[in-house]
Amino acid sequence: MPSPDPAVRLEAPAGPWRGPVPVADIDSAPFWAGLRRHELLILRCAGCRTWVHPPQASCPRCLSLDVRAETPGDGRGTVYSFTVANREFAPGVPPPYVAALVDLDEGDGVRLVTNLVNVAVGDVRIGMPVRPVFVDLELDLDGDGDGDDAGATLVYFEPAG
Amino acid sequence: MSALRDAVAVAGVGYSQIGRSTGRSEGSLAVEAAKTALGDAGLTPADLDGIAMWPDRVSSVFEGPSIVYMYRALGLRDVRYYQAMGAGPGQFGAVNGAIHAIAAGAADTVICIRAHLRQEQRFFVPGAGDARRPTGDLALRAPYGVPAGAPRYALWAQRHAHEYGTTDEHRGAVVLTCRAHAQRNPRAVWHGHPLTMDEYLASDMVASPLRILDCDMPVDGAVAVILTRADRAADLRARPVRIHSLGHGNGPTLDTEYWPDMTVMSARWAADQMWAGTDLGPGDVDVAQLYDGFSSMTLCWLEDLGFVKKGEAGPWFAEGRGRLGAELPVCTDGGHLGGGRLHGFGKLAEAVLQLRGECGDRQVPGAEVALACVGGGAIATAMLLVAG
Repeated sequence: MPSPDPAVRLEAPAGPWRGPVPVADIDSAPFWAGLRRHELLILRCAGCRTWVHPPQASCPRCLSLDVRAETPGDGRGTVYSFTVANREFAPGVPPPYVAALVDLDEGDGVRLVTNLVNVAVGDVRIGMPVRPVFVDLELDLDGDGDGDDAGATLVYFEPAG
Repeated sequence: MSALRDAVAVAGVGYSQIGRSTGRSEGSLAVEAAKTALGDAGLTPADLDGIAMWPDRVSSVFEGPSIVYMYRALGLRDVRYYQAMGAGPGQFGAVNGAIHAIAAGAADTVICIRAHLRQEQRFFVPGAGDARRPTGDLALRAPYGVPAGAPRYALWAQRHAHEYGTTDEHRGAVVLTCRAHAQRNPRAVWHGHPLTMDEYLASDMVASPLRILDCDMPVDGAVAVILTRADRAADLRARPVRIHSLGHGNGPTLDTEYWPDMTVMSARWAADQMWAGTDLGPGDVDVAQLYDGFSSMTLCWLEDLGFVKKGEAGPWFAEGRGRLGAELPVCTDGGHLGGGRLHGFGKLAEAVLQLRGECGDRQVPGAEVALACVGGGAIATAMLLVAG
């Protein structure tokens, strides 16, 4: 499979979603619930104010069990690294796509795994400023053809000009 | 001084048939490797009082025969120590545990086994439920197409390239080094298939900057290694090889994606611990079996072990300094890139065979000190072995 043309523009997924659908657990529920409302919410220690991600029950700095979801500013970040994927590494996530690690500007180095969209493949750079884009997935997990009430939302990132 | 220093020896090693599609079960391959290792050591299953396996069916993303199966298959009785590990420092979790157990007197002779089939590892996790409904940390990356393998480590390779100017030709030099060595190893899956830089550069980019040929070659195969107390090894059939120093420390996190500085792998911490346990240094190493699950990891290992400064590994390989006959032969069996994916157990077995002088066309003359290094990204084990 040849590498994608650098001019190919990456778009957020549209139409029925056949890729992995995240399952929230008790620690990650605030993160996923925030995305459903198109808000980026990251856990933060109520005591020492350390940001906590991936979601977990406690603060890694002071071991407080009181961590609460909070918005890290406007959610903008910087691309720490990226890869142009040219295989279907996860079933239902068709290539090409750009997987990226985004370090949030506000949030003490909290890093998100994401995809970059609304950008040409050849224009992606490490250090690029980006901002979140919320995408509601079109799901039909039970296969009855009428969609799913619960739904799921992913956060992608796009160039922040 | 570390209590591990020279406390444990490798009594025997064994490979199964290795091939792209053997049509055999993991258990069949595992037993073949175990029998070969027992024969190599001059032991029988009755001499074993421990068994350690990687991976295991319970906690790993990889499959393998269960330890229950292998205990039964080998007819073991009265074993004092057993474990199966899916996680841990590189794929040597089980080996490290066996070394610790022997050094502590909990067991005398432990067989360590790795067996695996080349099945499509597309993001399946045995026992972990529906691949389309990921949980925990996997839920944060699988929907973005970063479930396992190449895309995860491409992110590390891209950052290394960004900071140090690592090029396609640098990674290609690792691949060509391994492929050249595979031509001297009849067991290697790429034996009889030499590779040129033009062919490497023409291969598919699967997750930039990694090409398909930067990824190790999945094969069916098993490797078994028998460890024993160093004071017992002299009585065994094969020339003993001592595990001189061991490092499997880790740095800032065990998370692959949330590792702060992706130009430095966990290998740095493992290497520091290993070097702290010995009076030897990089200049004493005769042959280095560095992990090459992805070629980018091999570059980082060379740097993180202290052989060269950060960013210098690419030019080092491009100058041919890792080739047989050159300064420090690397991956002399063809590595996993040229020989086939054996998840690090091949590193240990080849290090042992080099120190025993049994490598034929690919033998490093007079090799007395060897490295076996396993893992990449946030997982690592570094092991220094000495002959005698």
